[in-house]
Amino acid sequence: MSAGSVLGRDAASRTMPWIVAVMAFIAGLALALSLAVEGAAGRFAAGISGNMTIEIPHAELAGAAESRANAVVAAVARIPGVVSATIVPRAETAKLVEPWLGADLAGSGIAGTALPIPTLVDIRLDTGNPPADGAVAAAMAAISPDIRVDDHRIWLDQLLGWVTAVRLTAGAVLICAAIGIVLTIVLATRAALAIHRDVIEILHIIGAQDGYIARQFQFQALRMGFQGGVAGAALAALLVLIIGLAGLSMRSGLLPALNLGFREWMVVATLPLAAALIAVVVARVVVMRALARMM
Amino acid sequence: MIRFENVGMRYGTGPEILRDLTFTVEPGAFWFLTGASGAGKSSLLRLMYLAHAPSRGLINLFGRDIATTPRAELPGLRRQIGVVFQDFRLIPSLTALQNVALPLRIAGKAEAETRQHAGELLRWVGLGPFVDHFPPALSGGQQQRVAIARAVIGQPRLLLADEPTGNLDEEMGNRLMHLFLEMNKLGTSIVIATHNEGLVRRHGGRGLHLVEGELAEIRGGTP
Ligand SMILES: Nc1ncnc2c1ncn2[C@@H]1O[C@H](COP(=O)(O)OP(=O)(O)OP(=O)(O)O)[C@@H](O)[C@H]1O
Ligand SMILES: [Mg+2]
Repeated sequence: MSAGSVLGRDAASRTMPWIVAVMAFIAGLALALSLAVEGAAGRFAAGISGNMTIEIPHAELAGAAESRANAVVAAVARIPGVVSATIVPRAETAKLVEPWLGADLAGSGIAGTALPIPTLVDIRLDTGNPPADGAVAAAMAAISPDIRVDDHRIWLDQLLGWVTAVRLTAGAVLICAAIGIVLTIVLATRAALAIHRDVIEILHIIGAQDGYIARQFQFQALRMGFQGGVAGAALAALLVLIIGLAGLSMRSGLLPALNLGFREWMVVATLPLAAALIAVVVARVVVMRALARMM
Repeated sequence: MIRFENVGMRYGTGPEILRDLTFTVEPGAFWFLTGASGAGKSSLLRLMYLAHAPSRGLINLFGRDIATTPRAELPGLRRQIGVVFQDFRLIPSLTALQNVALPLRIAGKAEAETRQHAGELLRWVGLGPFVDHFPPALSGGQQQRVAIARAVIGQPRLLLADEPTGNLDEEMGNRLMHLFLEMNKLGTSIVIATHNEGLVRRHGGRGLHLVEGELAEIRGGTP
């Protein structure tokens, strides 16, 4: 015998999956964006933490700057964990300031080498075995106190703060969505209890345990939670996919694209399961508490 | 089997609609419960099948004091009781067969056996062609027979029937009364609420007579 559903379909059980779907959609978006931002920030951090820039102030005496730069390169190359150190050619450094100063001034045209542009030394680090903290700064201080070492710490700190903010916001949205699902299921289950009052009494009289009756409602809740969760998460995933394909994120190249990897997609895919689990647990608690008040 | 001592009953905060009921139904009894409409027959049956707690007094069923029986043990007692409701109370989303099989399914009996047993019972009450019909698509008398099949399928120790033959023609009514008598011979105690005085006289005339919620008479039983 097909077991047959003891509780027929009711109005509440038809509408509720849609509300769960909206919650799951919001949760899916928050989760996907947070994961994407985290991934992008991670890739960006990995990219910039593999190098440092040393800034040697402009020197009035011709040749002095060059000899200082050579001294810096020699000192830095001796530090364990440094892969390479190269002096950035003057033309390239000039290009970096070009947007601010204009081509004429920055280039070697009119002002020539007289423009007080600092000399930059680019250092590539062994990311698996980076130099000890402050080792590079100490070596530079030994040469001259006015040499600046930029390890992008400020950038990384800002990035970390930004990622933390996104993560907290996404967490708050997820919690709100979960609370929304809980309340939806509470309402749906209460409505179903009222609608099926008669059936519940018959089941009791026939000798059903509370657990048996609760399972009938849990099954309904499971269906609502899972259907809603799948619909909502799928829509959220679709939207994220479209955003990714349209390349709306950071085409400038300054920041990496917002893309989800396989692992991140799997996390989003667990949303319907989470919604279904929440629904089942909530339905059971609501029904068992209501039944305990009956004879 | 059933012992009531000074039992009263009320719905919610309403007035007591049953008062001072004291009687004992012995094992193997075949009793009728009579009284005018609104006298409290259905309500008294509700107390007996443990759907309602008394407002006062003591109810003892199968040797257990109901008030002190833990809630978790009530289903075990209820499974020994078969009930035919005055308004049938079949589950609308289940077929006739599934309704009849439900008590066995709930008791955890094997599915195939349950199905076969339910099918035989439905054929016996003349509903062979209707096993897969849903209750709303059955006539009153057909629903009543499904309800009776559901009440007897578990071979209960106690059968409580509220106007079980009210919607049946005479032949089917007699047939089901015979079923009840056979079950009674095999040890099931039976209490039938009815308006039908003729039925009561034909079957020994023993039982309780209610007048406005009070016990007016115990006919041929043990007070
Ligand atoms: N659910 C209920 N809530 C409140 N009062 C009720 C309820 N059910 C029955 N009553 C009242 O209890 C009294 C007894 O009703 P009950 O149904 O037990 O009578 P009955 O003897 O079975 O009548 P009938 O022969 O018409 O079936 C009536 O006065 C009725 O109004
Ligand atoms: Mg009645």
